[in-house]
Amino acid sequence: MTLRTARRVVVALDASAPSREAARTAAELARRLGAVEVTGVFVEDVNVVRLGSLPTAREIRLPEGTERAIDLETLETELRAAASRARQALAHEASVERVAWSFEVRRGPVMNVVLAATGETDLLVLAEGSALFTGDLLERLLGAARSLVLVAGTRGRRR
Amino acid sequence: MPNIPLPPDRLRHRCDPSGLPFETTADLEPLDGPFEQARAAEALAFGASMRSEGYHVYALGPPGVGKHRLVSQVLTAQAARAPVPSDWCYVHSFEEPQRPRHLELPAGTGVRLRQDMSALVEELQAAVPAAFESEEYRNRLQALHKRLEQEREGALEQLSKKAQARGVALVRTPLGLAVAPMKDGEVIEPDAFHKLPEEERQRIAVELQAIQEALGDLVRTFPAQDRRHREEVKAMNREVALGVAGHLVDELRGRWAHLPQVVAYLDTVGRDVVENVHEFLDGSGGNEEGVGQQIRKALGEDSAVRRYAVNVLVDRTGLAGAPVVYEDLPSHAGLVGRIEHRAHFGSLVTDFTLLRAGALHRANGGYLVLDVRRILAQPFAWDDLKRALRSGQIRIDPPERLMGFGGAGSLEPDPIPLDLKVILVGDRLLHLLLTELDPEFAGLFKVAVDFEDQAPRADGGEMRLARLVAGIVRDEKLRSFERDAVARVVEHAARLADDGGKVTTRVRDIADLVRETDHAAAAAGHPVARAADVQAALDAADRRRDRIRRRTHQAIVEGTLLVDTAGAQVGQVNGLSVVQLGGWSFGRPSRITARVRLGRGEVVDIEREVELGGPIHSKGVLILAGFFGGRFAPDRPLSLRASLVFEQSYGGVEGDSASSAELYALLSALAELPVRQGIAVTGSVNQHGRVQAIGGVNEKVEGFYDVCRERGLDGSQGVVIPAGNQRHLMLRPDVVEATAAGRFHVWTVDTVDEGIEILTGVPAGQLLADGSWPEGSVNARVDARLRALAEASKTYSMPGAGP
Repeated sequence: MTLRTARRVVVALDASAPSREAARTAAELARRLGAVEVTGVFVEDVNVVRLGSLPTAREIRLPEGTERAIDLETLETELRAAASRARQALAHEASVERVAWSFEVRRGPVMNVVLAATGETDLLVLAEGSALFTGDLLERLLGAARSLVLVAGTRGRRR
Repeated sequence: MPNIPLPPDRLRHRCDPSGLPFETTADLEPLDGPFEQARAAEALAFGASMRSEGYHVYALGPPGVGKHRLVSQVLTAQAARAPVPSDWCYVHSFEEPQRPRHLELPAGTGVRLRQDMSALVEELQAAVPAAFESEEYRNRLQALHKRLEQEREGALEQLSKKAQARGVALVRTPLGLAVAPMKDGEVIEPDAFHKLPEEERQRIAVELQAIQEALGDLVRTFPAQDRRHREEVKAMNREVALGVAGHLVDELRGRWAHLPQVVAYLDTVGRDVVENVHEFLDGSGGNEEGVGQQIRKALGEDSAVRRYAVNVLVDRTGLAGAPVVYEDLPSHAGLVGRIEHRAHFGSLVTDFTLLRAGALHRANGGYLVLDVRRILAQPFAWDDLKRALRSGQIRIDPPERLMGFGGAGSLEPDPIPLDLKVILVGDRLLHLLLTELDPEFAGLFKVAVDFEDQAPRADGGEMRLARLVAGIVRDEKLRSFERDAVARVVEHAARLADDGGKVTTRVRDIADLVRETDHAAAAAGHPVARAADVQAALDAADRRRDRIRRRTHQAIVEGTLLVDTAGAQVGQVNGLSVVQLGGWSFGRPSRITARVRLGRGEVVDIEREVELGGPIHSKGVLILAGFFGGRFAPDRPLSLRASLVFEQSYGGVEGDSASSAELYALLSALAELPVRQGIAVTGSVNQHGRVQAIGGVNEKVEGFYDVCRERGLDGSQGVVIPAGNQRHLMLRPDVVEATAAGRFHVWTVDTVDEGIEILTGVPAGQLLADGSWPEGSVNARVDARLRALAEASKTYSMPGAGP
């Protein structure tokens, strides 16, 4: 399989700024490659959901650094809001590039969710610096991926 | 007996054409007005060249004498020899934007600086974005971002590892970071957590707390990191900007190196470019400030294009010598300039590019001519002018600030040093009033250029007037004037001067006559204007404006206004007054009557009693009482009550020119001698009975003549005038002709005695050595009457006598 024949481009999204950049890159690639559509997969880290159910759950908010207790309900609301923003971002980029798009939310361990996505597509786009891929997660993922994976940096900004 | 009428040649001071050595005005070297104002020209030249403070000029004189023309002639000549003054520009003040700075530049270079600055902005607009879009710049920026990211991620990673070692996971939540107990590399399931033994849960809580605190500490270092990062980006931007703008500004600085003021300005521009380099970037390229910057750009209130502009307030390009500015509308803004505004998102804003020059700016370094009446009529303008002259600077103050409620966001431009000469042009009255009422006036306008309103005909005056006519003819492309026509113009000029030996200097009136004569000559088909054309023009002008005169004279002729022109009456004399109507005047006879009876020595002026008489008229009447007392009753009470009235006069009466007529009426009433009604009199008297000169003698004589002519001249009619007025006689040619034919007469008198003899035909009589008067004389009859009245008075004042 080569990029020339890519029929579908999937982009893994979360609430962070780099992942919006990735949405842009994915939409542009979809257009350039003549893909049928670009699919956004919003990853809800299962760790976050579990955290909300623990009695000890506390959060330090960024960027101000204040601390607060959180519960599952709050987290769920915030995840939904983040997903909605990611969906809007993708919709916008897709409309700019005039490509078809779809969007879905998947919950689970990040590695599993993203790896599963590589099985359903020709090209997976990830955001460099996304909050999803901490530690050695990105390296492990690249080793196990079943499709082409493009790690989109922030370098390629267009003016 | 001196009561011989004046010979006709004394009634009009003719201009002898044989004294004018030319055929037509085409032979003459034309004279450019003004006319006969050598004194004024000298004073003006002095005022214009005197550089000391306060030697501003006030040119004063009646309208039409050529004040503006002389001022313009003298100043243009002076200005041509003076150096061309500087250009003045306003530029943005980077330290205090509300106080624009001025630049003084050599004449004609302001526009060049403006062009240079606008070229600079254009170049910056191209060069700055190019530099910031270059690969090198992007790489540097990327490196900075990367460093921040790595630092942050590295620290978090480290903490995360530390946490993992203690069984704690670092989790990213949608809005921040959290810590949670870990099992098998993932956050523990809630159920599993609850199944843990109590002490294990306690241990985990302690670990969580520790990591949480460490995380908090770490996150709190982020803002400082961000700030440092921003500073680094800014410093880099500045460095790049300096690289681009530096050499562009340096190039300009080199070109303007000879002007330190401009170099200093360019330095501030260079610094501003570096500080505000983002304004040259179009902001769409994902710069962190993208949206805010775009909004600022849209609001565009302080954009670089405006900030680096040069407002050339005064441009001297093409000017030779100093400027001579005549400001027709010397309003506040017209003088000191104004601050314009433009609509911007629904409000009015301004900046230094909207400063506009006033007349003071334009005339700076030269001459400013102002009409004093106009400047006084404009709110604030007079004070503005004085303030500018006093302080030696021009300050553009919006009127609302002068009134004490300054507008929001208004400007206070740097005042511009002022060095100019102001020439006010106006009338004498305003000069007097300003000297009297404005304490600053005399200190600022030290040179009074007082224009003559008449000039002697002798010593070549007539010839110069002829050359003036030639000048008007040339300037206005009119017909040439024959010598006779010029002589007629000279005579009219003398009539306008109200003096046979002088001519008016009111060039405007002469020019009007010349133009109207040309018109009359055209109608008559004369290729060269003749004396008859001048007369036709004068007659036509009279006809155009003499409606009131006609009606007045008609009313007299028809008997509505009672004025006798034949026969004789006791206590009734024809006085003469002048009616002035909008720059034109005519004479009209009025009947003055006197009645006498026993009284306490008062002369009652009925005009005064009803407040129809002015103070000078009252003064004349009171003098009469003095005359009677002094002449007839120096050592006894004057037991007379006399009343005097201007019959059928319903407007005011002012002036003392009728006081001799009133005296004749009184003498006639007392002496019971009839006065010839075919004679009218004019002249004022003093307490000794001397007749003094009055104004408007020509109009008065002609006024009576016109009435008599309408009724039919019988050869006995005429006018008695003061001898002092003889030199003023410039009577109409038709009056002179009638006199030559013996149908009308003009007598001159020095004393009341001469006058009463003409009026009554009875000798006045000289006081004899014994204090009595010659038998049958007027004075003897008056004396006798007054004695009789005194006797009667004595009878009434005796004890027991009835009232």
